[in-house]
Amino acid sequence: MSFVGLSPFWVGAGLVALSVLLYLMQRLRVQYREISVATTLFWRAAVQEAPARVFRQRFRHIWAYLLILAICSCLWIAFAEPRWDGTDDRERYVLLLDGSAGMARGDVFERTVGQLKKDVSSLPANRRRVLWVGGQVSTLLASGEHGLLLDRRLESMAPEASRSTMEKELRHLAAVSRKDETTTVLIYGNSPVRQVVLDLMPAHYTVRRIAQAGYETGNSGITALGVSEAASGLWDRVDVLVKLENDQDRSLGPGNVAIALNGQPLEGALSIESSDGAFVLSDVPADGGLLEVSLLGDDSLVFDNHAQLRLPDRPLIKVQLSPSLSSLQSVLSADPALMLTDQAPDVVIKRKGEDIGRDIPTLEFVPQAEQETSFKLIYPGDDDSAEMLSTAVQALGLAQIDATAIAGASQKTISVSAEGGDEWRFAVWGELLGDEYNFVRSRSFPLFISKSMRWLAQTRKWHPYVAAGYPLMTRGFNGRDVLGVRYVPAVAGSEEGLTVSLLDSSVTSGSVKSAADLELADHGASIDTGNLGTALLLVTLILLSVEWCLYQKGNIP
Amino acid sequence: MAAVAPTLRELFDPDFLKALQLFRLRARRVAVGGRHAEQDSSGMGYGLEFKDFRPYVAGDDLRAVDWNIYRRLGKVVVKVFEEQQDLPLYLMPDVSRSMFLEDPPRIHSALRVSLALAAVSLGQHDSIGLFPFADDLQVRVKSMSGKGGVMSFARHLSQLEERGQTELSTAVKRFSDMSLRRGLLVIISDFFEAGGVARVLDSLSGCRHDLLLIQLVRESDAKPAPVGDVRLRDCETNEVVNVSVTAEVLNRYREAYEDFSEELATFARERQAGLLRLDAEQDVLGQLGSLFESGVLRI
Repeated sequence: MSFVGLSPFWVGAGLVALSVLLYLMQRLRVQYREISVATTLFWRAAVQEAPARVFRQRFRHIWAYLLILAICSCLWIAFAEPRWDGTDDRERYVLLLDGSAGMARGDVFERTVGQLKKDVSSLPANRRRVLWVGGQVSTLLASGEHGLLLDRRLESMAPEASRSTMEKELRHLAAVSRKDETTTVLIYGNSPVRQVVLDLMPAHYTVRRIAQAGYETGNSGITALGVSEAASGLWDRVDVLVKLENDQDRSLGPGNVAIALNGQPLEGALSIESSDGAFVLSDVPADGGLLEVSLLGDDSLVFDNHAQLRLPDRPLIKVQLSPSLSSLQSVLSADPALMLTDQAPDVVIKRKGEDIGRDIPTLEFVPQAEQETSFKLIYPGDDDSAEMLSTAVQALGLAQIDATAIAGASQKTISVSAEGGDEWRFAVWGELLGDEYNFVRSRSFPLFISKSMRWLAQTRKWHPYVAAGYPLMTRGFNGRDVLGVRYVPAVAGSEEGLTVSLLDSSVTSGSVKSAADLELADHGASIDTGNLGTALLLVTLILLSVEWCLYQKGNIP
Repeated sequence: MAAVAPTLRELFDPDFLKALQLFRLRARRVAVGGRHAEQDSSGMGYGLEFKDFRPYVAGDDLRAVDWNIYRRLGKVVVKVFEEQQDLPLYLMPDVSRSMFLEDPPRIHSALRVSLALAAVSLGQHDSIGLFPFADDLQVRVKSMSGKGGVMSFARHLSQLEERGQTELSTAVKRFSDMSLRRGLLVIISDFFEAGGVARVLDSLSGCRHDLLLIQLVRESDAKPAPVGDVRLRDCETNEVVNVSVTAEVLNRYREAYEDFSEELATFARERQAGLLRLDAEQDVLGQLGSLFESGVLRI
């Protein structure tokens, strides 16, 4: 049991109990130490006028009593660490040290850490804990640990190039809160917290901020870096969006950044459009290169001055066309993503039975009599065929085919099926190429061919943007964006095959929409009992020495 | 746990005995009736020291007739010599429980000083006796003489065992009743008798022997160590005294001890007895040096 942080009432009660206990001990029967001596002749003579203390005798040793009472009182107060601010004995303190990128401005972090250390020393050790809230949340000082450990652990800590996870941690604290513990959460840092997050906190939780004056402004940063398919339609090109922000009303544009692709400056043959600090780099080669954007000049925060993104790798799809299907050549040539070739093709288009493109993804035209459904997807593996079919109908553009017209013209039911197999293959009735179906002349036919080629080639997935701490978005071969469960690493840099950038508007601007105004904590709320405890222990030591001397001299029993 | 008496090997230390050869024990006058030895006696007879002439009477030894006087004066006279006899030395070491307490126990010094005095006496042809006492007197050696008896006497000493409580007054009375030839009675004790030192001194005052009191003391007798609340148990009587030791109590203790010591010293002075305070924590031989001034103890 520890008595750390008792209220004055309990400290006083303890003192009274001690004095009563010691008083009784003075009056109760003495516990003698037995010693064998050669003779008691002289002792008998000595004690005739001063007999030994007996049960409930007159209170004789007032100074001895006062001395032992002083020693016990000092020890009691030193261990009890009384709190004179009237706070609840059960109140807990959670100190959250902001380690996000925003704390790297000027010397904010150093000043905040200084304040944190000071406050930690003034709080009862068993009712406070300190958490690091950077890219990840970790415990800096657990309950009961000595405050000196914090100094050593903070030596290796510095703000990280991460967005603030303060709100996330507050949500976590709210989720694990205990009803019987009044808790004060002290935020050491400038990460904004929205009111909606504060509303989640339990009623017995109080959130305060230890503010640091002199918040340094004048910061600019890159807050968005994303890529999309080129508006020009070029398959092997992409458009890149760059957005710049600052915490003042300064307009920013392409002239404020240096852009490099694979380490080489990206020259201005590319068209650039600018509005509100955002601009687009058009038709950037989509060859898997590393695009780096750096803000020119220095400012108060370095983490958001540099961003980078791995561009998609989108080579042309090489298609081998069977001579028997030369009528499709014009359609294929019109697609800029496709390249007709007989060398190492990615996809083959043929009729069934033709001996070309073995083991290569194939668009195959089969006789109607040999295939029950009009369109049949065969894919490797044993994935759910219904899900695969649903995805493929969109990816192949089948939803845009005028199936009713085709069915009317052919007097056949138009249907789609999918099944697992050993290879990628898209089997279509060959009769659909005939005039009676009017499919070839339809506007959806070129789209159907183009999408079929992309689906069969299984073009590589790519990430439209990679921002630290956000979910990873992936754009697949079917053109759909998938927001995966995988999170981008919380700290900017290269990790796990991803090139991660900070890209956080709240860090750059130092504010967030609907951020709540947190009540500022009063640093001096608790008395510093650490020094008092040390002083009392020293006094105790001195009193013990005095008692020892008096005891040795025989002045006290 | 009580200590034990030193073994014969510990007691019979050749270096210790060799150093004792320098000491002599001289009595002013010993009582007649003993053996021929080296101590002066009050008797006249045959000896080496010429004393006087007296007329010849029948029965005198013709070898004592001074023929020169007879030739010149024609009277027959005989020469009378001072007779030299032995000094009986009676050793009474205390073997009560208090002598075996503490470290080192007083009995070690008691036995060594007994052996020292015995060796000196035997070396000058005196006779010795050993009468250890506690609650009663024992007669271990009634009379022994001859230089060769040192080893035998040391063996007797090493065989002494711890006995009951100190009853010196009783022991002295019993010793007096034994009607031994007048000699030197050496009492080696702490003199801590439950009845008080006055009772001891009363019994000693009636003793017809010359007295040498050897009081075995230690520093803690005068300056006791116990502090605080202590229960003091007398090792001999098992009597218990509860004491809350304070400066005041310690002062009174010191006064009581000083009274005891002074009473013993006054008795020795008035009785013309010897008194040696021997520190049980110090070397015996060095302290004996102060007793034998110039190597001779005169009594």
